[in-house]
Amino acid sequence: MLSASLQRLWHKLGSPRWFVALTDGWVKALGWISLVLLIWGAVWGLGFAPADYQQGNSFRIMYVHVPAAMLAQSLYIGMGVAGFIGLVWRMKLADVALTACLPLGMVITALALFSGSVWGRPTWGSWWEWDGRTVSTLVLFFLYVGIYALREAIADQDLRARASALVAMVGTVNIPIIKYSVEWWNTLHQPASFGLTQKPAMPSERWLPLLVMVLAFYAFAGFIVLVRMRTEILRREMGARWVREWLQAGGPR
Amino acid sequence: MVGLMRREWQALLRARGAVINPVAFLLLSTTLFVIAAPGTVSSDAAAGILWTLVLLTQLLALDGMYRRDFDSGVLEQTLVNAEVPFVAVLTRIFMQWMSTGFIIVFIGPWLGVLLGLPVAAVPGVALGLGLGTPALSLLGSIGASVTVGFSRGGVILALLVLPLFLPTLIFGAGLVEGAGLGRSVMPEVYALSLISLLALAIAPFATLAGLKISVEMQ
Amino acid sequence: MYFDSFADLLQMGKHGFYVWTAYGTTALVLVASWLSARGAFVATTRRLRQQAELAQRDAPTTHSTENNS
Repeated sequence: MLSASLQRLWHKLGSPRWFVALTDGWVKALGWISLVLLIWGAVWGLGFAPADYQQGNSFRIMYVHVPAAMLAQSLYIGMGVAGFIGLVWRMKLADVALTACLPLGMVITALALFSGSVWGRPTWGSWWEWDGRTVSTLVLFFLYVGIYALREAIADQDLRARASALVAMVGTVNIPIIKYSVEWWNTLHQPASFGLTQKPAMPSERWLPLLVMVLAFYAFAGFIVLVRMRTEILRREMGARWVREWLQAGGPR
Repeated sequence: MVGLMRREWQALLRARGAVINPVAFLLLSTTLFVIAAPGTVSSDAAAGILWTLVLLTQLLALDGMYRRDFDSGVLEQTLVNAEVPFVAVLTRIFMQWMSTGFIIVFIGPWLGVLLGLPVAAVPGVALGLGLGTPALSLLGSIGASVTVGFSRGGVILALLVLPLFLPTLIFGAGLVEGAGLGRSVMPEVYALSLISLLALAIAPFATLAGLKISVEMQ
Repeated sequence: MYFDSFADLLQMGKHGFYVWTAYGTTALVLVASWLSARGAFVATTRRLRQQAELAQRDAPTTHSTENNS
C-alpha cells in the first residue's frame, strides 16, 4: 500500500504540470519568509552579536560569507543529484531543476569568494590564502562555469540535459576529493596556519544569528530555484493545453 | 580485446604526430622555463612546474582522442556494433596513456632534473608519474568524450578536465617534492593510487555516456 | 544593541569598510538574483498570455459552433 502511493508520488514529481500547480500557493510565501529571515539575521549579526575579541567587528562578515559558501556547494550538489535523477529515471523536471540552480549557484559562489576575501583582509591580513576551503570554493566556481559553457555549446535540449547531468555528477564526486587533497597539502606546507582552519567554539550569541542567516539563505535559494523552475517549465511547455488552462484559471496567484 | 589492441596500436603508429607532438610540447615548455626563468629552477618549484606542464601536455593530447573516429563515423559504429563498447573505450584510454603518460614516465624525471630536482629523486618522480598519469588519461577521457563534437571544444575541455586533474596534480607534485627532499612518499603513493583506481571505476562508464551523447549531436 | 551609537555601527571599530562592503555586495547579489528570476517569470507569462490571445483570435469558428449547439 505504502509503496504504491510512494510510486504514484514519484511519478507525480516528474510531472511539470503538477509541479506548477503544487508550487502556485506557497512560492510567494517562501519568498517573504526568506526576506524576513534575511533581515532578522543581518540586523542581529550586524548590530547585536557581541564582537570577537581577536577579530573585532570584521567577524560579522561571517554571517554572509558562511551561508553563501554553504549554499554554493549545496547548489552544485543539488545539480549533481538532479542530474543523477534525470539520467536514471528520465525525469523531465530534473533538468529543469539543474537549469534553475545554475545561475544562482554561480553568483553565490562568486559572492562567497568575494566576501571571504573581504573578511580575510582585515582579519588575517591578506586578501587571499591557498587553503582547503578557498581552493575548493574557487574550483567550485570553475565547475559552475564549466557546466555553463557546456550548456551554451549544445543546442539540443535533451542532449544538453544529459551532458550537464553527466558533468554535474562527476563534478559532485570531485568536490570532496579536492577539499581533502588541498587540506592534506596544507598540512605539509602550512603547519601553523591558525585562524584559517581552526574554528574556536562560538558562544550561542554568536552562532544563533549564523543559524538564522543560513536558514535565510537556503530559504532564499529555494525561492529563487522554484521561481526559475516554474519559468523554465512554462517556457518548455508553452504550447501545451494545461498551460493555457492554467493561465485562464488565473495563472500565477 | 587483443584484436582491438592491435588495431589501436596500428592506428597509433600511423598517427605518429599525435604521439610526438605532446612529447615535443613537454620538452619545449620545460626548456622555455629553464631558459626564460632560470630563477625558478630549484628543487622547490620543480615539482609543481613539472606536474603542471605534464597536465597541460595531457590536455593537448586529449583533444584528438576521439575526434578522428567521431568525424569518420567509426565511433558511432563502434558504439552500436561492438560487442562490449566498454572494452573498446577502455582500450582507447589505455592506448592514449601509452602514447602520453607512459612516455612521460621515462622522460619526465629527467626534465625534473633540468628543472632543478636532484638526480637521486628520479626513481621517485618516475613512480609518481607512473601512478598519476593513468588518472589523467582516464579523467581526461571523460571531458574528451563530451566535447568531441564541439568545433572549438578545446577550451571547454580544459575547463571541464582541469578540476578533475587537480587532486592528481596536488599529490603528484607532493610526491615529486618528497622524492626531492628524500622523505617518505607513501601517503602520496596511496593517494595517487586511490585516485587512479577511482578514475578507473568511473571514467569508462562516464566516457561511454559522453560518447553516446556526442554521437547524437552529429 | 552592541554598538553605542549609529556612528559606531557604521564604523565597526575601523572595520566598517570591509563589513559594509561585504554586506552591501551580498544585498546587491540577492536583490539582483530576485529581480532576474522574477523578470524571467514575468516575461514568460506575458508571452504565454500573448500567445493564448493570438490562438483565440485565430480560432473564432470553434467557439461559434459550440455556442450554436
